[in-house]
Amino acid sequence: MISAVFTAILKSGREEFNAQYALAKKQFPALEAESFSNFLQITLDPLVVKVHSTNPEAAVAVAQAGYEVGLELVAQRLVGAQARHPWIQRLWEEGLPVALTHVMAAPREVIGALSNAAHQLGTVPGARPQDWLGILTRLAPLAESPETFLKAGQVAAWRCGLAHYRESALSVADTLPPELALAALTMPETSNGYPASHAPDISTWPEIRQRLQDGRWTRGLGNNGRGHSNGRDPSTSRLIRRTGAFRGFGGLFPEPPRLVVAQDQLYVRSGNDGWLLTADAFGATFHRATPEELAAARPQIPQVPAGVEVPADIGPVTSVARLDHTVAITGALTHAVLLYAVPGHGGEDDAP
Amino acid sequence: MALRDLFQRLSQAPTNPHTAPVSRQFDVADLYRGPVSDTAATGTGGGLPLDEKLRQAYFWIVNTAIISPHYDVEYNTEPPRSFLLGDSKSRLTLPSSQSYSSFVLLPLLTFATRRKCLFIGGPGRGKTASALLMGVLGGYPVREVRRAMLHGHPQMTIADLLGNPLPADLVNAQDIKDIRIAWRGWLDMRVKIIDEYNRIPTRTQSALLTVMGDNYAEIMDHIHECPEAAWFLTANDDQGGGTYQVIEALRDRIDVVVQALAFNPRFLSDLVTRIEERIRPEEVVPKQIIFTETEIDRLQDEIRAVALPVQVRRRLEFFTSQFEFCEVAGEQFEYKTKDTARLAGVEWATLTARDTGRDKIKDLGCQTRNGLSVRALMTIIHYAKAIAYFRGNPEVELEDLRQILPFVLFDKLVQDVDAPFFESPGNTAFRSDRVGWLRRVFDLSCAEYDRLNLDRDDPVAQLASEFRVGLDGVGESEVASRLVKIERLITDWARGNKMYGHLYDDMLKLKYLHQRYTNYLRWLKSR
Repeated sequence: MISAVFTAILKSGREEFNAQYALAKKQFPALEAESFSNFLQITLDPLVVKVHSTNPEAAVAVAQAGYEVGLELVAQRLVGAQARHPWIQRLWEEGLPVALTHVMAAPREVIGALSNAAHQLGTVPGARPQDWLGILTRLAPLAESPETFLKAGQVAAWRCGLAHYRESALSVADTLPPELALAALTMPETSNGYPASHAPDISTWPEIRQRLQDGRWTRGLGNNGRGHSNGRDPSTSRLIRRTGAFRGFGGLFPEPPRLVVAQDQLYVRSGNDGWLLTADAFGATFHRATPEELAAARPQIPQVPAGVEVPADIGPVTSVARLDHTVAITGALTHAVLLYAVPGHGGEDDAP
Repeated sequence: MALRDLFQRLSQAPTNPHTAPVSRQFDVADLYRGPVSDTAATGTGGGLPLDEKLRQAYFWIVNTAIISPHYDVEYNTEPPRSFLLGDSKSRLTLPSSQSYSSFVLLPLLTFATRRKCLFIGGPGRGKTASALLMGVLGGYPVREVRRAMLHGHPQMTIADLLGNPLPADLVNAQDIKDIRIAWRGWLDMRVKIIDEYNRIPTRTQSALLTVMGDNYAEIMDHIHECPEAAWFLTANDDQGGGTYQVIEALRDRIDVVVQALAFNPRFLSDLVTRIEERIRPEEVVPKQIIFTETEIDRLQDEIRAVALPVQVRRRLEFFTSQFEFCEVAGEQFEYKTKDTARLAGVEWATLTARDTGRDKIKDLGCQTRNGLSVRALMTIIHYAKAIAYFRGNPEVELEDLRQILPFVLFDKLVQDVDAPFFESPGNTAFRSDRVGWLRRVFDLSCAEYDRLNLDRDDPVAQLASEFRVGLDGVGESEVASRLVKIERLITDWARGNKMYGHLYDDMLKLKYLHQRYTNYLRWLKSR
């Protein structure tokens, strides 16, 4: 049952809403009236009602934007019962209601952008959309405008596993107020185990910013950005992450991968395919490599550098790639790539 | 240089140059791009490059607004599959690259270059609706575009077209300057639409010509300057039928002519949906594809910056030179043109009967009654650059020229339907299919250009480029040698060769160069 408020809005713009639906149906023949009707009732209606209770004048614009975005999402089966992943639905139910000020200020931009971001985080293996939603709810009241809110959301997405955005996200962070930048980079309490009272002090932002810039594997922010010493030998490379998996188990690789290097970037070959691997303290992501990139990439001598401990379960080492900040290793018995932080690049801290 | 230095010198150029792949960059702005269109990053489309925005506009119209698009602007990256169908062996081609619908593409390029497009075709084929869409792309509300659209009718007066003097001023004014004019709103639109322009009376057409040609309107000595605009006109009959004959100058101001092709009943279900859902595409144009005035200004600058390579330009020069020459029209060399005969009022049949000795099928000039104007050439160049820009290329390709040319020359190059070419088997259909004919003529011209090997062996181009370097410091003996070279070339060509259009233009160019060198030599000797 749709609320009276939303019913009135739909009725007043009936022709335009119907025309939009018909156009979407033309573009996406798979769009089902029943699914969309469910979306309106279950997902959009509560948001419109909440907006109406806060600011009745904003309800029409939010309803129109939600309707427009919803059409595309339902047509592509990205929300509702048949959705390919739950994260856009979760965003609409948990994220948008707490970011109501920004949703009301720029409904189409905020709803569309955040839905796309949730989709990206929900589909990149290893990304943490749950954490991102958690950070968003903290960012919403801190941001002054939809623009700064969305920028902070970009920085948070990097923090939640989209390692390929590292350089770009750091530049965006520079344009944010320190409080917002720190909040975007600080994991929610439930995820990283730091008590809320240990939220970073904004005076530490310049130091943290510098450490993030200098150390690809720096991740400690919960303790006012300071890392933790764990008594480990500082000259050894630390195994930070195993990434990648067998295609049969939902991963990318049809066979154990091999590493190559080009343009100071890591590439992974498996079977006839190849990927660019970007990794840092916050995550690791794979991106399909072009034939030109693969042609330019060269394997390195598979000699394990001093100070790198190779776990026995990966079998004989099949390839090694060494960059300034990272050592990557593959083995004959694993479909994963092992990533080690080179000493001096931030891998010494323990914070997650 | 010391021997030691010689051994220490390093090459300053790459010793084995390779194109290094660029290190991949990621932009966090991409986070907000995805399954939902119109993200915060693009906002109103302002973040997109303008050529991309133009393509988005095109594909939105083709995929959403137009029900049955025809892909008649064909591009191929490899030889296309083609099939011969029916008794007349009609050729159906399946292009191997992205191809376009002229009915959408040409108006869009007109919009981007702020030029003038005429839609022709029977009633109810979407001519006016397409023009309306262009108005909406220009940032005007649908209602405003509709209200500003001029509808041609037999009683249309100049006042209906341009505006009225205020009645109170007409009574009270002591001077004509004191009479204020209530100008019509459409004059200030950046997208001007005139529906059924061939129903406007001749006198009113003349007033329209001033606005179209010179961008201002005049009533009682009062001038109203109009902004630069894209013009869209519609007509049910491009031959100047309708209620009134369209004056030639007005027709000549139109840059491209696009035909609204027939509706394919296989798309009837879409039409049914549109009726049932009461969809009017012009009312649901996405805001990302709406262009601001500044963006259109920038579009024009970017289009102008697209390069026209010499090789492509030469093909256009060669094609153009086929048509104006008419050997029997004049006695003096410069006046041997079709325009001379036209100005003198000589009957075309008389003229062609006297024109003997040439192969009238091979000579492309025999297929037309006129040549190309400078305005037509400028239009071709503008649109060729625009289509290259639309395709995302930094320079015009020969295929761009080939595709755009028929729409520009549609009613500018007048067919001689009695020419022997049209009697040849397979060519009779060109009498009615002007787009196909113009494309064929261009192909034949390019084939002849290749046969003459003009890309590699073009003595006139060599002489011209030598001249373009300038005459500063060129001595008497060098000038004399160049003059001899020119005269020798003319002598060679005069020996046994029949005159064709391209040779005629080459001769005139040689005469020009000869004259410039002669004057320079005279000046050198007088010092």
